[in-house]
Amino acid sequence: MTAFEHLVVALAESVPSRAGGPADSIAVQVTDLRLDLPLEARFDDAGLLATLPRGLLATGFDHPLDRVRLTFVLGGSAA
Amino acid sequence: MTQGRAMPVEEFVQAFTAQLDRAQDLLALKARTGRPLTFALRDLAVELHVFWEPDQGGRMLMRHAGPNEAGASTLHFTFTTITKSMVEENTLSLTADEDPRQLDEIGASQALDPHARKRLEWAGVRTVGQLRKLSQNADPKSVQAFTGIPMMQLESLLLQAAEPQVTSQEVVAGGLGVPFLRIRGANLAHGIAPPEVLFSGEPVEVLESSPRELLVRPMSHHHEGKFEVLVGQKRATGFYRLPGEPAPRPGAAPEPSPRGEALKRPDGAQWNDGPRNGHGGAP
Repeated sequence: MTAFEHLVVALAESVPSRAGGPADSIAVQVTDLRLDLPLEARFDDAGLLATLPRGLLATGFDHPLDRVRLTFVLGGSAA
Repeated sequence: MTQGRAMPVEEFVQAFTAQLDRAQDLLALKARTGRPLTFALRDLAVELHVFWEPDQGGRMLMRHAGPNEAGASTLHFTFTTITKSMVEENTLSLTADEDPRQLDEIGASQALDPHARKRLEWAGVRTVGQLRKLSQNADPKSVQAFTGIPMMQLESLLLQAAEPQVTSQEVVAGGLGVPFLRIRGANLAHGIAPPEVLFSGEPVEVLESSPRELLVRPMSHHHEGKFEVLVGQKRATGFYRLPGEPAPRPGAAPEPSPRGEALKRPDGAQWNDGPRNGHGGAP
């Protein structure tokens, strides 16, 4: 389990925002990213602790899965 | 794996919002490390499986469902990005509240039973100003029906809220080396006539007055003691302490010199001559 904000950042990091470039003669840019994922979560003093489900390692005594939907948009610029 | 703690929804939303702020900060940090563009979180929806349980105070707490626990509620939270101006637009301004004292700060609120206090809170009444507004815009019977607080109790609460009260004071720089005292509180003035303020029993000049704040000019011999604010027939008191050594009171006999000689007044008379013209002597 990790703090929910770290999971959000890790998910945003997991997808490349662009591909290609001058060497490929073409480049593509992701403008928005929508994720719809199952989630294992529990409450903590700091808010929500969360992790993605453990899949094949599940024991059968796990918490019921929650769900999270995230929409990221490309934005910001170098300061 | 432990089940985690149970928490009230409002506490969860506060904590979760803080987590989302941190997530935005972390994502924005990447833009500052040389990446021209980065993802920003725009919308988020989360569905959580929870069970509801009341605590001893009657608050509903949510507890995340544990392993093999069937029948959990599904709680959907949807968050979206809002701008600073939207937050400001939709936030109750504390400075706009005519009386921002918490209900706990007036003694009569202690007499309210906890359920009545809770109902007021649910109705969004947390300050004395909000209670007054609620009572101004509706007849007492409707307020009683709405809040469940008996009319008499509500009236007593409002009466107590109308009493002048001193909550804090601050010494501010004044003219001619005499500090002014800013007195803060509630109901410190009523109408256009300024209240009477006494420092150690002596009236002092009131330079500015409003229900929440007074600015007064103590006399040079006022150093510390009790002050009173008289608003009509009502009274609030506090204690003041001004910086610096106390100046001798006018007409008060000074300490004798080490040689035991009485000091002379500028007019040549001795300090212990007694009052002239029937007044102005030492008390």
